[in-house]
Amino acid sequence: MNALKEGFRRTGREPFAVGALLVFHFAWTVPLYRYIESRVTEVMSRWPPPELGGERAELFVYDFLLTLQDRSVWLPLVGTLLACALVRLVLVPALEAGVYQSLSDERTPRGTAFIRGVRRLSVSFIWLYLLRLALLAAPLYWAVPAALRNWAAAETPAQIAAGLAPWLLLVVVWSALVKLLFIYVLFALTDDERLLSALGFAFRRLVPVTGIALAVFAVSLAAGLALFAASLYWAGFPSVVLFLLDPLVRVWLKVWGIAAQYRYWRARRI
Amino acid sequence: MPEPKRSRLPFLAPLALPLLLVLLLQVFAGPLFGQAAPAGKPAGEKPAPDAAEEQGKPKHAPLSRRVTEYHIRVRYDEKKRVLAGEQSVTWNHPGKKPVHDLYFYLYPNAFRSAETTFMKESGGRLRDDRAVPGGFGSMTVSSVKTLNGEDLTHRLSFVQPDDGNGEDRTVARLRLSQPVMPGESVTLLMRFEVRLPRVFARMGVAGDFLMAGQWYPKLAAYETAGTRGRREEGWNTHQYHGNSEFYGNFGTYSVTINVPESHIVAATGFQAKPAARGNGRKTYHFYAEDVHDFAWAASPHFQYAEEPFADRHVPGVKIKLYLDPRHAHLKDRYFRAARLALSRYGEWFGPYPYATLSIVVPPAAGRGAGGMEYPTLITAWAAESDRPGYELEQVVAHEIAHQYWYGIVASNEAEEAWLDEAFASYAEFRLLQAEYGLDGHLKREAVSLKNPAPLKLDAWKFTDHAQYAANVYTRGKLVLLTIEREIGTAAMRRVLKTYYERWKFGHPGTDDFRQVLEEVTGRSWQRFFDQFVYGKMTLDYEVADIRSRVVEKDGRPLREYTVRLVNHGGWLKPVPVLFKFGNGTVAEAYWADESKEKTFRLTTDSRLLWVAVDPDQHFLLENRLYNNVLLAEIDPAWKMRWTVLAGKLVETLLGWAI
Repeated sequence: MNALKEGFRRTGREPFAVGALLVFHFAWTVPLYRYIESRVTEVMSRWPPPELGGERAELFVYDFLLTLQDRSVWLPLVGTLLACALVRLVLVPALEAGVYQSLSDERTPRGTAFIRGVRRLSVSFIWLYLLRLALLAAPLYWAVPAALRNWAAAETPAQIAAGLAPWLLLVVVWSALVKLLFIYVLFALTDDERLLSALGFAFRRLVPVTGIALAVFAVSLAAGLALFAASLYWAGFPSVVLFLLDPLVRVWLKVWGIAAQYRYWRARRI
Repeated sequence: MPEPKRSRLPFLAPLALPLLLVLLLQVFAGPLFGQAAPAGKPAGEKPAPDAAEEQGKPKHAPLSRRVTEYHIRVRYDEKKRVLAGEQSVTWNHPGKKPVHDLYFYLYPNAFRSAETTFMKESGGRLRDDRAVPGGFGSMTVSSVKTLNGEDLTHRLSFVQPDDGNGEDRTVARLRLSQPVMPGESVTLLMRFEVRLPRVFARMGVAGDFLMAGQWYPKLAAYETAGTRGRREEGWNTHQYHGNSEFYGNFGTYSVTINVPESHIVAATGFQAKPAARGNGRKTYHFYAEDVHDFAWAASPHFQYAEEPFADRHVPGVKIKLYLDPRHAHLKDRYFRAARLALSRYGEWFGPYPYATLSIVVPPAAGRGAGGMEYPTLITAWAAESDRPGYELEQVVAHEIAHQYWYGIVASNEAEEAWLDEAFASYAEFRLLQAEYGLDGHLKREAVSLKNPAPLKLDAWKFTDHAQYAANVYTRGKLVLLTIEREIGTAAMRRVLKTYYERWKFGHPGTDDFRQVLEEVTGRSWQRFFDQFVYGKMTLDYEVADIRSRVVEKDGRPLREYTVRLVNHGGWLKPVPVLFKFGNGTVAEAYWADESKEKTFRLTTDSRLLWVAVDPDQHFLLENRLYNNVLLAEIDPAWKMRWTVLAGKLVETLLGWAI
């Protein structure tokens, strides 16, 4: 509880880190949303009006799915996604290096600490994120073929969902665990400590560490859902405001999640 | 060839006339009383699959020009998976020029290695079936002799007329020691052996089921001048390809098949005498005439049933059903589908001229043998499910339709596959619609035509099997249905009846069909064929964009809309365009000319909601339905909602990864 409280206060004292993450967030989501909006407009403006007969909508979906199988159609979509992923793969670890350094180094001015972190830790962070990505994707090797087999065998949507659920749960739990443990590996890297001992630390205290993560997650989920529901409900200008507010909340919660774990890590190590 | 029986009962002569009259009435006007009842054996009598068939006696006058005559003896060694055979084949020169070479198809060599043209083109996959690793097969011809005993074996060489692939041994040329002169014939005695592949792409072995299609050295087709627009006579030879099916001259077949005693054999034609047993083996003798190929299947597990059938459009045929035990309970469905197909096609196209029709239902492991046509023998889908849907009726309807277009009319499936496949698909669609109330999914089929190609195209020149199937089956069928929409069902029936009657046993080409169509309808179809048959056109009308501006008229502000339409496809006839307004009114206009782009201007005091081209979806060949409609404006709130929803999904996915 203490770690959560102190982490929250600490987040308030990290305007530079929060600001940098916020700028990054806007920099990649604004073009992304523009792109998605253009695709959505295209689909919506072709959606057959009900007066033309119910089966036209069915045909439209069928045609749409067939069109997606066309290489010249899916390639730009997948290409855009991959380009986004690549940009994030470089920038996210670099910015988080700044956040971790900033949390670790309280005496240096915030901006200086942040930039020092980016300079000092970026490359190592990128490699660790790549390793983390490989670990995150590992269960897909089994989950995807199993899900496809289930998809082919299932006859009703309920059967498809029932078959997918255990695999989805496995992927979610595994991803959460890997991400949580990696936070401690990154702490060790930032504080020049042994990576394995940080892993051991997190393992030995898995219950409180998970507790902190779950508490932050619960708040994030509640806030996220509230904002999401509001942006769907108040489409129009209010949703633009929400669109701007939403990243601030999310970035704040993200830094809080790291800061709370960092407080716990420091408190136990001293 | 056995002689037909003559009457030896002269005292029955006074009864002959009334009997003949009753018979004629039966054939031409249907049964005298009530429903058409199958003639022949009473129900419940167990049929014998090995018995000889009375009604299958050779007919007096040949129905076709019999270019070939085969006498084949074959022994199936089930342990070695080998067919050992010998044949006497006579080729009756149908042309006017001396012929120095004969061409034989050794199609089992398509499965000889991964380097054959068929295996390279298909990648070891065909119609959802895969080649079994190591399941190769092949054919060797060990001896070719003339009737004088002259050995011509060394004169046999492999040729690759289509692609020059040296690894392909599916076509062999035999250089004769002396030419065959016009009107003359040549007879050769050949010994051959087929190492059977595991069932894949129509033929082979699956457990103790055997499908023998393209299993003997078969003469290629010799086309006389004028056939399918040909200027000079000559051979029409093609390798075994990933997509192509078959083409040959008509002739007679007398085939004895020796199998293990436990096996039941289904084959082209009729059984000439009862199966002879001895030494744990059984020998069948089949005879067929006026056919251009001979296929057979064998299995110890076949459950045999037969049903004689005749009605006003079917002179009389014995339907022979060879069921995999898994489908034993579906016997009646197979029979019903076959009866309906024979009856309807008899009515629509012309009477089925053969005495038998055999239907083989392969076991699940033999799925590659399923859904195939041979003269008087078809294979249904393999018995993979206990409760098949309408695909059971569809495949029977489709393959029986092939009896007409592949079997009797006998188009060239290598070069003009659509004349068979599209016509069979059309017949299947019409039959299932008329008898089972199935309307199919024509619109879905149309939108799936994303990669159109000309219909009259060598089968192996399509980019892949998907493109071949989508065009030759689906687009071809839609072309025929489009013609029918234009001229009406009655006229279409007259076209197909005339085409069948004129070209049965005649090997027509696409132009021959067009000429029949023009003759019956009394107008030119050249433009239509140039676009949709010889060309790869579909119809593709797009409402490209809608622009609006405010104009003032009589002091009132009005909206002026400019609607731009684009035609990306071919042209059939004027297309209707519908405009829907916010006040509930609609306006209709026609795009009547053949321009590629058209602009409509509307000035209105209401809001234009949407524009739809071909709003009733009348055009069957329209393959991009989504661009037929364009909304003038979309709800910004919903646009925002969908964008947020899709955006969150992408963010979550990317956020999960990094």
